[in-house]
Parts: sequence; structure tokens; C-alpha cells
Amino acid sequence: MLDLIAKLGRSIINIIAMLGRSGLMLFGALIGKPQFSKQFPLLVKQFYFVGVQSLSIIIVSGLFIGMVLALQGYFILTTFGAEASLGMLVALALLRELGPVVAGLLFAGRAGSALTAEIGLMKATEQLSSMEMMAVDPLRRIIAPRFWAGFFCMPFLTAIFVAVGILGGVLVGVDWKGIDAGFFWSSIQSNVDWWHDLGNCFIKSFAFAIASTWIALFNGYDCMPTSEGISRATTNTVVYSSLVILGLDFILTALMFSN
Amino acid sequence: MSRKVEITVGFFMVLVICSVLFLCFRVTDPTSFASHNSYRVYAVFDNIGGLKVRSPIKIGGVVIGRVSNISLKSENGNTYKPYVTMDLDAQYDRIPSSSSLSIKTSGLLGEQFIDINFGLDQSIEHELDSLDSDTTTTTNNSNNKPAYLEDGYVISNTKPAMVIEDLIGQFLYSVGGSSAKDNKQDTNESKE
Repeated sequence: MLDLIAKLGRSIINIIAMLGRSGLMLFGALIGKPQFSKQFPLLVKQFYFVGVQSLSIIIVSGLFIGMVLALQGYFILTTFGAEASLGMLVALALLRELGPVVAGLLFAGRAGSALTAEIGLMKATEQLSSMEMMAVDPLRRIIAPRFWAGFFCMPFLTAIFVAVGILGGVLVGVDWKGIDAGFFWSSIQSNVDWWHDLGNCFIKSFAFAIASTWIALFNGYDCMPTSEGISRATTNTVVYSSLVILGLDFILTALMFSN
Repeated sequence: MSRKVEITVGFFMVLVICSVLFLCFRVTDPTSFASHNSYRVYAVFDNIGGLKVRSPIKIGGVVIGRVSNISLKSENGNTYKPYVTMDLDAQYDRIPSSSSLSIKTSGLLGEQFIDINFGLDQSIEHELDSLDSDTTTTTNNSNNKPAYLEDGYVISNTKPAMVIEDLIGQFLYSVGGSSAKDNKQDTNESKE
């Protein structure tokens, strides 16, 4: 019994210590004198790895999600004779929920796991400690550009995802099912609010970007420097970021759309 | 390698900018975030039915503003009444203040909106009065009512919303009432 309580306490202390380490890591990476000329090329390189290489999965899944949403919406709305508001359905569903969440999940799976594996392997092959030997701060050199790349790329990818999804909805609704294009666009334009829908989409997306990039970087930085440790860290990244994105989404939705 | 990376990242950024512009100008209404000049008018209703914040305000079917707030307010110690705040587009500033408001429903089950029915234009009334005699104009000026709707004006000439349950209730009541009366008359006749 006493053993059990001791175990519980130890695990809680471990969790708190982990949170502390992750906070310190982010603090060390982001707080400091900015050196744009030195960091900008690193950032561009990370934009390539994090953003550009996630582009194909984002575009393809956005297109198919928009198309499937339009098709299912069409089947349901025709039973009420309300297929003219299909555009509103697709656009609002993508902007409010599906865009940020699905782009976030895909990003965590595609870019987050890659970041974790890369940093984990750097740690296992002692590249991070050799950088410290050369008086290069690995937090500033390795973690910071990856964090900023993730922070900016995910909202960018969300914007592309939503835009492609709406175009996929147009493809199914207007070109295949023959809804009038004017009805389709006017139902979108009159119902999508500039701040309430579009702005909140990007707020959500930035929140998910911070959460999932932070989790990915920390899991890589904190992993056991063995091959098994790297594999566990990569799995943890995908699982934790997905759970945190879904949980945060509920909280943000409740705050944003409750009134 | 580095040059290729820069070019692909550049393409990525162009794609991002295109999709953000698409979302801003094609998906949302581009006129909606060019902030309109608007003026604020209030109205007291008996019943607002299903009116909501951001419901449209229309004249002859054209949207000229939106409901910005709905609350209950008691006027000079009277009972609480729904008090609707409306933002009207500043370019429509010549709406006669004697206009009446009614809450209507678009379609049978559609959303509810406020319809403005034009009243008599009081400036024309003034001119007619001044042609008539000089005494009436002085009385009209003394009651100090603006001829057109303006910021802060409270409209009290309103018609309550039609609540369909009430209508059905009244209908059923009237049908039931008349049949009961008929029965009474029948019994009276049978007594006789």
C-alpha cells in the first residue's frame, strides 16, 4: 500500500519535473538576443523541412475532405431541398473545426514525428553535447529555428488546407452535382464572418502549432539516447500532440462559439 | 541545395499568400471588414419572437443594418420590455422617424428579421403645414422630434413578432369557444 502511494508520488514528481524541463527548454530556446542574419538561413531550411515537405499530404487530404464533406452534405441537404446552402456547410465546417484540427493532426504526424526523430538521433549520436563543447548553444541553434518554423508553418498549412478543401467542395457541389455557383458562393460569403470564423480559425491554428511543436521538440530533446528511446519518443509525440490538439480544440471551441 | 531550398520555400510562401487572399476575399464577404459607418437606433417591442443578435434589418428586402444587442428594459417604472439596439448603415440616413418596425419571418420557417415600414416624411408634413397656417408649425417645432432616424433615437412604433404557437392557440381557443357557445344555445333551445 505504502509502496503504491510512493510510486504514485514519484510519477507525479516525474511529470512535474518533465513539465519544468520542457518549460526551461522553450525558455532557453526563445529568450535571447535575436541574431537575424545568423538565424534566418536556418529558419528557411526548417521551413523547407517542416512546411514544404508537409505540403503534399495537406493538399491531398484537404481536397478529399472538402469533397467528401460536400458529397455527404449534399445527400442530407437534398432531403430538405436546401442544397443551396451546401457552400455554407462546407466552408464553416472547414474553417471552424476540420481545418485547424485535421491540419494539426496531419502536421503532428508528418512534421512533429520527424522533428522528434531528428533531435532524438542528434542526442543519441551526441551531436548536441559536441555543439556545447564548441560553445554553440544547441537550444538556440537546433530548437529555436524548428520551433519558429512549426509555429508559422502550421497556420500557413491550415490556410492552404481550408482553401483547397473549399475548392474541393466547389468541385463536387457545383461541377458534379450542379448547384448554381452563385448560390454556392453567396451562401458562403453571407455566412462566413471575417473575425468570428476566419480569425478564430487562425487563433486555433496558432494554439495547436505551439502545443504540437513544443511537444515534438521536447520529446526529441528529452528522449533516452538509445534506438528504443527514439522510437518511444516518436510515438509519444504523435499520441500526445493528437490528444492535446483534440482537447485544446474542445476548450477553444467552447470559449469561442459559446455565445 | 541551399538555392533550391530557398526557391521551394518561396513557392510555399506564394501558395500561402494566395490561399490567405482566397479566404479573405472569396470566402468572406470583402465588404464586411471594411468597417461601415453606422448609426445606432433603439426600439422597444412587446415581443421579439426569435430575433437574434446580428439579425438583419431590411427595407423592402434590402439589408441596411443588423441587430447589435437585445436586452430587457423598463421605461419609467413600467414593466420590462424587449429593448433592441440596431446599427443602421450611415448612407441610409433619411428614414422618417415616424416609420414603424415589424418583426417578420423570411419564408415559413426561416430566420426572423426587422422590417422597416416607411412613415410619413415629416419634413414634407412641415411644408404642408406651413402652407396651411403659421400656428401649427410652431406647435410642431415645440415637440422637437427629429424628422429622420438619427443616433440614439428610440422607436416605439413597433409591431410584435407573430409567434406561431400563440396564433395556433388563439385559433384553437376561438374554435373551441364558438362550439361551446353553440352547445349552450342548443341547450337553451332544448329547454325552450
